[in-house]
Amino acid sequence: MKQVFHIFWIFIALFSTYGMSHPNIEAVKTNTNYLLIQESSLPIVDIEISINSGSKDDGSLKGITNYSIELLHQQKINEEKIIHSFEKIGASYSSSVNRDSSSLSIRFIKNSYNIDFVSNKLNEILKADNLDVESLEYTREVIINDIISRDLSPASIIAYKADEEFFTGTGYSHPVSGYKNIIEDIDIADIQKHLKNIININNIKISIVGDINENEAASFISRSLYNIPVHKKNISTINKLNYKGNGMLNNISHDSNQTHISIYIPSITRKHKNYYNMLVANYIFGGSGFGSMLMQEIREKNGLAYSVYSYLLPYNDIGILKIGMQTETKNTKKALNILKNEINKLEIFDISNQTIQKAKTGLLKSFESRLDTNKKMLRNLSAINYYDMHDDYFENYIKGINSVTKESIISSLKSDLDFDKILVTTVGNN
Amino acid sequence: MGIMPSLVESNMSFSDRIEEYTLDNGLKVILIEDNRSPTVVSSIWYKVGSSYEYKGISGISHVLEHMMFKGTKNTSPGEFSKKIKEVGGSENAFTGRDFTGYYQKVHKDYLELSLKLESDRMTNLIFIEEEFKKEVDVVKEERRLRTDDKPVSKVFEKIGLQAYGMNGYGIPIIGSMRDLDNITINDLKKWYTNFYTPNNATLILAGSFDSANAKYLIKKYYGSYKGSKVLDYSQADNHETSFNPISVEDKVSEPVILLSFKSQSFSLNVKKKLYAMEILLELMDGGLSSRFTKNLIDNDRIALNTFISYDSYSRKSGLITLGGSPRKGVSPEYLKTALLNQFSEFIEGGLQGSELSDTKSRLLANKIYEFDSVFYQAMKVGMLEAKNFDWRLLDEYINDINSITEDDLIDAAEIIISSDYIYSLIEPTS
Repeated sequence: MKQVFHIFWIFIALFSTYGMSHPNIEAVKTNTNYLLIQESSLPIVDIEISINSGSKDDGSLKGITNYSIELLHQQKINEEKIIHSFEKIGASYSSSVNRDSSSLSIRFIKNSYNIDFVSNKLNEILKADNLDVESLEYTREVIINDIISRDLSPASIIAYKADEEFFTGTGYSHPVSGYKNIIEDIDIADIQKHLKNIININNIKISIVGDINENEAASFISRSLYNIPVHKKNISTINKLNYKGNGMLNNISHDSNQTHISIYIPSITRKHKNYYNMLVANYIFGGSGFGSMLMQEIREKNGLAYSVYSYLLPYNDIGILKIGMQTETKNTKKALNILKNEINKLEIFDISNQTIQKAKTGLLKSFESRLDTNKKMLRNLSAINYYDMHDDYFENYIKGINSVTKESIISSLKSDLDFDKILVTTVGNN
Repeated sequence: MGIMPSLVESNMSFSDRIEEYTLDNGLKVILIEDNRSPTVVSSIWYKVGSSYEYKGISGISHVLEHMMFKGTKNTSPGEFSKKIKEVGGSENAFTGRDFTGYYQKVHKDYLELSLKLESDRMTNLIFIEEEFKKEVDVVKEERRLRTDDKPVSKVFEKIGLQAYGMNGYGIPIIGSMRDLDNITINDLKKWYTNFYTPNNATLILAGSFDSANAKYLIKKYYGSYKGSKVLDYSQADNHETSFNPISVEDKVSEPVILLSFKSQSFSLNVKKKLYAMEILLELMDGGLSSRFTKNLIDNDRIALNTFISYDSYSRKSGLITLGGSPRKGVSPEYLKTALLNQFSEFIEGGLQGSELSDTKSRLLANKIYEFDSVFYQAMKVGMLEAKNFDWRLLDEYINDINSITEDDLIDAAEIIISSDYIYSLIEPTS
């Protein structure tokens, strides 16, 4: 029988807090490592498997986590790559590695065949028993090529050079893709050993959004994790920031039309008690596009850049307030002076209560639109799962923003942003 | 393969929830209802983009798009964005070859604010010399960022110019640096007055809204404007395509090759032929299980990556571009021949196994995934409407591609094999 999906009369099961609707988060069979948002208006299921190991856990083989995760979907079962079998059912798979964690994501059309099929294939992926030497060599060449490309574009040079300088001595300093000489020497045994270490049940969290009920989700998870080893949870070494710079300016010469500018200010982690103060401060400073302090001064008043922004980058152990822009090389000095002034203004924070209230209102009122697709819900759910914040997350978010005041921001800026240890990096001609 | 019963039998269509009508002044209105979340995307599409321009003013549609945020008789520069931000909304604009679009995503309670602001700038835009100069600087920075410091983008610009000159799709959307320096406020005023008129626009709402109220508001804010005759300013100069190869050295880590073929514009008469080309190209390079990946990357190990760029819904004659990078030890020429051989081999051997049904399954699944985002729904409908194509093409798409046969695909492959092409090679700077 032909199924017709009428989106417009099926609603997401929305809960409401302070007049704002949000989805309901369930712990699958009370296990808080496995979170579910049931959303049945589309016949789609989105899954993210999060592994609590990222490039900071590479050890001496810098880049091995990224290399290993890239190989998982290329495993061959009965002469067919797993990624090919996903494509045959129209499923869309991707993986990614960041500094703290790695993730495997898949989206597929909901039906009982696909639920069984995808969970069985994910189990094969996670067992990692079918790594393929041809894929190993091909992926090595792709990664090395990416590493070489990294030195050819100002945007990628500035990202990795600034990290190397700022995070020196921590697991965050090297690029996720590693270094050429190390990647060249990694062999299949290294990969197998690394995967056996990082893929274990205690190191995995699963987030699910879509047209799937709790029993189906439980069955899906149980199939996906069948026979995956149960080790002790991987406890990463805590990374303490060693950066001792004092307003240091690091110029990297590169032949390009624009100079790229990046500024790092040491900040707080996601679970820090003052996080919401920083969120509101950043929104006003450079996190909200047009009308933000940075956008007004750099682009709207001076026409110096197409893009200028700031955002909070909360790693597990260290947070950064990151500022970025690009401008024609001859304007670099002018741009740096403006950025310096704006950072000074941020530090003093002589901002009106009205502006702060508008920022809070903007953040709260945009809350629902940040959860208006399954993809966005999954992104949020994964972060909630990763940080163990599922208990009353949405209520706490709204309360957190509402509790911010000018005084609390000023106090937080003093204690939570280390303005003495700013790193300024530029990449461009001269 | 019978593995996706609900997928192949499902039918999600726009016509179930689209309502369209035209105001007396010629403004076309399309309402797409989707109540999955309490947000609505309000977008307006003007039928003007770079393909409407001519040598000397290239980039003017895009500069005008920037100036639309710089104040009206009723709002100051930047006020539009601030007002949308204050209610938690997001907004942006985009310029293409055939359209200029503006959108706001807001909570449904603020639909009126969005319509009021957007309608205001349809007729009340002011042009302040100082703002104009700054904004041209911003656009030049955008050009440096997106084109001048991007080797592949620069070559794509060269290919367009060689194929079509400063006509139609040969005109770079961002404009040439020289033309950006030469465009005047009077040019902009002329462009705005001619193209920004209700009878040259389509207003699309997608998301959650009360239909009767939305219609009332649309009439309230747009109904009083008068339509006007839209002049065609394009200046065809009988450009003769040169198929001479393009060879450059630039900052790439490995050689990149591009083979660009001229393609037909879309019309219902050639729809089947163009869809056959689309399926053929999807079958060649639509996923990791497509022929280019399987044959050139996995089996023959001669390509590091491959890509295809093509748009079936072209208002004017455009380009199909195939490309990729050879693996270490493989010459660019060898890869070029291998890419073309994939089409010759298809003509000789036809379809293999389930590749056609796999390709169609992938396309159908992607079509369902598109319904996850109301913004994307507005984009899909808007892009067709702005090119004077009917949005119903989207609903007919699955039936249309299901009617494509192996013979149709072979005919499409014959076109590739028998057509002239521009061969471009980007080699790493020595």
